[in-house]
Amino acid sequence: MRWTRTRVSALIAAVAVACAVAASVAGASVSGITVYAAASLTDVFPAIDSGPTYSFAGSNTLAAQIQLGAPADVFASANTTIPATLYAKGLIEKPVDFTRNTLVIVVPKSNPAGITSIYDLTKPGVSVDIAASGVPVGSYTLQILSQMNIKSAVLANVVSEETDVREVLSKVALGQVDAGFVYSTDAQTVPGQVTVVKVPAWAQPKVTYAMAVVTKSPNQSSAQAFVNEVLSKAGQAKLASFGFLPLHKPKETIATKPPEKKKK
Amino acid sequence: MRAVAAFTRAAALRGGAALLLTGAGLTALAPTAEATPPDSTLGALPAGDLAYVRLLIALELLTIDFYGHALASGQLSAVETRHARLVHSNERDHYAFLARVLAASGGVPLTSADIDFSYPHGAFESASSLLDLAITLETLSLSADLGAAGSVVTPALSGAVAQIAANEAQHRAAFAPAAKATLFQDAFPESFTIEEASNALDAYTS
Repeated sequence: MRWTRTRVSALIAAVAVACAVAASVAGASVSGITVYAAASLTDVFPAIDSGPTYSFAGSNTLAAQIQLGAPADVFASANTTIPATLYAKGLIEKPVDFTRNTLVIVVPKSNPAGITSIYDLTKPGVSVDIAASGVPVGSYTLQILSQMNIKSAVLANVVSEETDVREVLSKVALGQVDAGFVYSTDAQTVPGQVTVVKVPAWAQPKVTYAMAVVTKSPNQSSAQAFVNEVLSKAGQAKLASFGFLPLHKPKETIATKPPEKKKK
Repeated sequence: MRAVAAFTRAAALRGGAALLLTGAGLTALAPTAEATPPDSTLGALPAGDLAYVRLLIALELLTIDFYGHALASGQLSAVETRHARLVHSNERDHYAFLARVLAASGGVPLTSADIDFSYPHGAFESASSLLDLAITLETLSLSADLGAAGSVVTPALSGAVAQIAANEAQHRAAFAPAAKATLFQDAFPESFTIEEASNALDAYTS
């Protein structure tokens, strides 16, 4: 068999990918790549790997930049629809789901409006901050309000729409508004500044994050290594330590006693 | 009419056997005359009705989850276990009906995989704590269903939810003696607003 130049190149590329994957699994840092990631991943991604250069913003904003040819190697979104759209356009490789999240309401620590329930956001005079509808968290917020049939009443109290979830969090933490919708993981980043109010479980949207290597990335192997690193056991454990949820619900752990102790 | 026709001799004999085996309490819970479930093909519902259906689906998931754990706990007596099995089956039927109603309106019903429930510490460690919680959850379900029945604007849905409310009241009554709870008290049991029902449910979700 003759070793053509193409075959040698393919072999080198394969070895490079294998090395990168092995490095990521071993916990080594992936450097020389740029990761475009949802704002809600601002704290956890650098904790998983401090090597890449990160750009955090609303997933829709990042997607628009990628469509304009921005030099991203990896794209991580707070939903699955935006990556699916980019994949359909051939701009990213096939996306993979990598974590889940839930939404909560945050109010300033002093809670001047006395908010204890999502229904309090319908009361006149309450100021509410949400993300714009194009941002995943904004879209999820509207989904919650629609499902609970309180959309028009709450939207009447919305005083501002932000471009990403961290802006909502910031305005609430600074006391500029009475309440805002953020991911539960964002609320955990400013524990002394905000109080969390539950979004009812029956109205929670399915918040799934997806990521992929950008098709035009010149650093395919390193980009893939970063994706693998996030998907690895260590990456998933780090996500969990920041409050993100596993892709699949773990088995229930309520302690029960053995059936032979039945009473007559 | 269909229900009466379906009440066959065999069914009557089965009912009699149940009475002999388990006492009047369980017989009171036994499905009488193979009652037909309400029609779930209600078509597209208004947003307010759909919100109620979503909430009631979550409540049914809570009780299904609770009785699943209760049965697995091994704390219940033989009679209580039979009660719990039948109640568990009723709650699953309620869930299936409400899920069909929501799906017919284009909604996606929650499943047990979508909600994590939590219970008071030690809830499953004794029969008394377990039965107390059964009474609490049945009362919660009853009040939520009564509120929904009085608030939804689709008559067929209102009627069906009223049937579910009646069944929850039966469940509560079935467990009341063992839990040493009052069998009944108010002529008009408490009816929750959707906000009250949602907030009450929140206490059992993590």
